[in-house]
Amino acid sequence: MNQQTIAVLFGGRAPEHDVSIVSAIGSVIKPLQLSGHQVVPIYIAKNGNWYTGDQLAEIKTYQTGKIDEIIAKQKPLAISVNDGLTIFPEGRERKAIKIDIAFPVMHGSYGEDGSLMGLLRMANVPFVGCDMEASVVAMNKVLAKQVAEANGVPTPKYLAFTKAEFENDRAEVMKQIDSTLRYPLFVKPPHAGSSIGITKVKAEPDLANALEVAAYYDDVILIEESVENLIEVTVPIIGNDQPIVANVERPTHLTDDGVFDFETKYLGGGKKGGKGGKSGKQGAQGYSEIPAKLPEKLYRSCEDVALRIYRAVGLLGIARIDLLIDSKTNIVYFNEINPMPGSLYAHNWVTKGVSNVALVEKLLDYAIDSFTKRAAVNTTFSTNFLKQF
Amino acid sequence: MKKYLSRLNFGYERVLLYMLQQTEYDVREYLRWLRRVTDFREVRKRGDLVLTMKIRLLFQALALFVVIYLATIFAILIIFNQIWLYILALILILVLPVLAQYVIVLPLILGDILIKKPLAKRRIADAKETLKNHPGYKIAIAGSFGKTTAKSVLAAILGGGKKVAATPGNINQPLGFAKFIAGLAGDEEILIFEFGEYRAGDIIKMCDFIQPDAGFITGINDAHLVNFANRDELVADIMDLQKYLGDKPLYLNGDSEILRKFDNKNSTIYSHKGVANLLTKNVILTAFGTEFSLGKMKIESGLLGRHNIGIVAAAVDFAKKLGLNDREIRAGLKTLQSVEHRMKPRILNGAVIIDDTYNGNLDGFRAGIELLRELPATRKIYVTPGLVEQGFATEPNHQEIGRLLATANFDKIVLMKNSATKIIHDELISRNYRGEILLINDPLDFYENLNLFVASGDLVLMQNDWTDNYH
Repeated sequence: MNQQTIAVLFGGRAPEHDVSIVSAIGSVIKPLQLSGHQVVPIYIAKNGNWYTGDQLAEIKTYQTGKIDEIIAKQKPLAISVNDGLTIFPEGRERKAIKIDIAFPVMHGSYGEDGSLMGLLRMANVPFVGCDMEASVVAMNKVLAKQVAEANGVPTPKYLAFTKAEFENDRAEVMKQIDSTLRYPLFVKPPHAGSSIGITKVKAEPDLANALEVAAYYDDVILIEESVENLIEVTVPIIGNDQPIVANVERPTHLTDDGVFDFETKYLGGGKKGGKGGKSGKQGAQGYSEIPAKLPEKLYRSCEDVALRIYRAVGLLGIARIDLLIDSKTNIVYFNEINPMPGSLYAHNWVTKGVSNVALVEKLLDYAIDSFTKRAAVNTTFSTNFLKQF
Repeated sequence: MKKYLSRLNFGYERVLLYMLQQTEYDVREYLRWLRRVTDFREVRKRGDLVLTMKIRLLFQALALFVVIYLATIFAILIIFNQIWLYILALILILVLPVLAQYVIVLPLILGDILIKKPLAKRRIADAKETLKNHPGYKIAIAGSFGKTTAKSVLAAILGGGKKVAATPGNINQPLGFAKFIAGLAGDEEILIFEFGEYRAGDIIKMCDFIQPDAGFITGINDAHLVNFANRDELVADIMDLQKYLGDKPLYLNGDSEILRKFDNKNSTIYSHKGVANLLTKNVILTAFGTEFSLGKMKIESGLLGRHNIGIVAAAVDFAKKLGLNDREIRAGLKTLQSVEHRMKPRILNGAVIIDDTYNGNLDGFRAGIELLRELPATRKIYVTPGLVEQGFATEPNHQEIGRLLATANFDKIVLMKNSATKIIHDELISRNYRGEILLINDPLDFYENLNLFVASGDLVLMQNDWTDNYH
């Protein structure tokens, strides 16, 4: 496997742009370099332009703001999708770099939602992580819940409306919610990641505002019942046909609303005075219980539910499944999927005996495996169709 | 040509000064490094020049030489103004960078002859006088390896019942002894000296200086062999301690094959099997220490590895001979801890990392590999840049390391890329080693990012570390 040219794609147009930089540089680029790979960093700026260069693989480039200077001076790269993925730094043909494997480390829209995977499929290059269809389902909370239901996995009761439906007849939408669901509710924009735009609604007077917030971030609104007596856990998984589960992890730093929001996840989150954590520095990973202290049967049940979802959605390579547990009934509900967990959730894999270097190596192996299987499927068919005209 | 051209860049003088600083201003070592360097731009990998007063003075001396050298050339050209002189001047300017690398050591050689040596001589004479009047019982520790550990073991165990002072850190030469002696309170009951052998005649000189009452020889192998004509000369040098002691107590490490041959009626052999008539039993090795019984005494030691059992047993035996009771010995044992960078365990990401980066000899490597083989772990990782200063034994010793590693069959072997690890690598391949070999170009980068390599359940042994002067 060594000495392959790996393009690590990060940054992007989603709100998780900065998180993606940290994930890529700390948990992917450095481990790949240490294990002897040729790493080509591909930084996607907030405006969507693509850049490459050695300096883009260093975190200080972003911390010091030097990135703006580099972008201002450098021409974006060009790509070719003919016979694999080739990049042309600053658009120059003589600098062409042929990519052996692409490693997207993108969070949120345009990166984690299947868009990038579609492009990489077109380029016919092996890539790490979930394929296009699974990414689309994973990043659409409504579709993911439907897949869960279809596979007999419990998920909190929910309704979904389009933004147009809400704007055209607010009263009808709110009436349906009132008559179908039980408060408290969570109102979510189903495509947004990192808990962006999520509101917990305890009673009807707050509902309209929450719906407006969600509609601001998405063209679909998801409303679901909250799980009472809640224990929230997350289950990192890697693999293709034979997925491997890491330790079930329990975040212990929720906000007062019971939401594990962007600030809590990535910025240390002490400001909202959430329970369970001190004034923090380490983000979510510093406030987790690994493995979650759950009764053995419940713990196994979490692993089982997560694996069922992983297989049902067709996830590949890596993902993280978030689950909600009603601690009184011990029912494990599916909550959502993260097809590219922040920093690969390497902190959890380490406790399972998989080092960060070993983790990226395994992900490359899975990428080759899924690419080989995809390539074995015949997609062309010779006919006389054109001759009839 | 590449070597010459690599001198022609800004900061070349800093490289030379850095090389001198890294070799602790040892001119011979510096000249050896000069011969090894193939690209002066690649010298500073692990650190940078520290601007001390000595470095500033050397820089000023070098700058003065360059100015005078160039001024002389231009003056001659102006005065005589002949074509052939221009050619000669060009040649002289071109050789300046090469000349500078030797000129820079002249102030050191002069300083050594005119100041350092006379000063050291006086200090040593004063220390000799102080030591004559000191009531302390003097113990000398000699050997190619294991001296610092033996010193800390003896200091800890004897310290349970006596007032003990031992030479600090890696101090193992007469001038260092003189500084140590100058700092003594005068009421110490036991003084422990570590004797370092770098050149033939070192040990007997130190014996004359310290006049030890007892000795420990911890083992002999090819460490520092590069400074001796052959292995016999090295052995003879270390065994000068035995000759000097005569009928005074001497402990010899029987785990070291060479030393067993020197056993006589005045010496006591110790090994992992015990010491004299006291046998070790019920040995339990862990990644954080060792437990064993020595006679009726149960010993828990913070030292790792079977190879460290012998010296603990020997120190206990010696303590008894010096009149310490079991309670005092136990009190001493409680203070016993592994020395930094010598089989020192720590936890990282749930993995156990055994830092043995100060280990620079084949026996130490053998002991470490054996320990890694014996301890349980999910994944075993071995890390090394190989050995230095092995002289003519470089190839066979690294082949032996390769053989040991191939036999142990650890999951992963990380080799810092250099001429020595190439021998280990070739040996691993020829012996069909089935694990993973990782070749590292930048050791510092590897050590700094070790957390990315390890996970819970891993056991990592890091043996030896090459500073820039060995590359």
